[in-house]
Amino acid sequence: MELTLTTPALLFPAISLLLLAYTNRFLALASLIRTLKTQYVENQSPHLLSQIANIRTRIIQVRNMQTCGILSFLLCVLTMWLMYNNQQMLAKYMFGISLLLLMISLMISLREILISVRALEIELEDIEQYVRDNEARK
Amino acid sequence: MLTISTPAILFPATSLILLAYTAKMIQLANLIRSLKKQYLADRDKAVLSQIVSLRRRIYLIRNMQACGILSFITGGVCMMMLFWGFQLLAEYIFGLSLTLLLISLFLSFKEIRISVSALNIELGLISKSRKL
Repeated sequence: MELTLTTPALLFPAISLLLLAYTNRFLALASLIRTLKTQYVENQSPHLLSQIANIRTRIIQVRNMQTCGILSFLLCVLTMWLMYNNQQMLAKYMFGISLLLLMISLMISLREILISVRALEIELEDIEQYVRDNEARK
Repeated sequence: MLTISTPAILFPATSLILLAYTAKMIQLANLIRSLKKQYLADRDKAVLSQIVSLRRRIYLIRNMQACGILSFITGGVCMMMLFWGFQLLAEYIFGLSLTLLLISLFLSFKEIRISVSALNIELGLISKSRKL
């Protein structure tokens, strides 16, 4: 399949939007972990601790997603540069690596999404306990 | 005829929709947390049913995101297959990618349909207190 100068450019909007989504996640998780920490200092609940642990793993995953995404972007630009300099073969390899990095980033993202509901489940655990207790009393 | 740029056309759309899903997810999670505090403060049944509805939506959004990401991944795999010249395989994978995107959008449709229910519960409270 022939690679043209515009092929890597097709990935640009996708990668930058993806990075925007990652950044949003990162910011939300960081502020959440801070509030959970203040809550934990106040009442030392083990629920909060396991939520913090979950969010911490996710923050690290998001960091890795961002790293792979940025590297993929970088290699895309490098691909364009190589094609500009008529290094067709090298450009092809670069583009392949770039796509691969994007795939890795997305796979980490998938894992992050699959564990993302866990923190909320822990948060709601005690409510479920109350509801069950109420129903038992009736 | 599938060219290398065909799956890439979907990429901006998929990543934008993932962005929208993420924003939704973050908001709902915050809302659930604040509603939980409210529930612990005044043990209101209506708040509890709101939490239940929001929780269903969070699961839906999680699945929407998973399907969207998978669609993105299969799109990328399809590009790689085209790159290596596996035309037929690439076509099947592209079909899979489109199907996953459709599933994601369908789940989104379902999520939107039930999205007003938490608000209805909240407002039902107001109309009840007015009647009293």
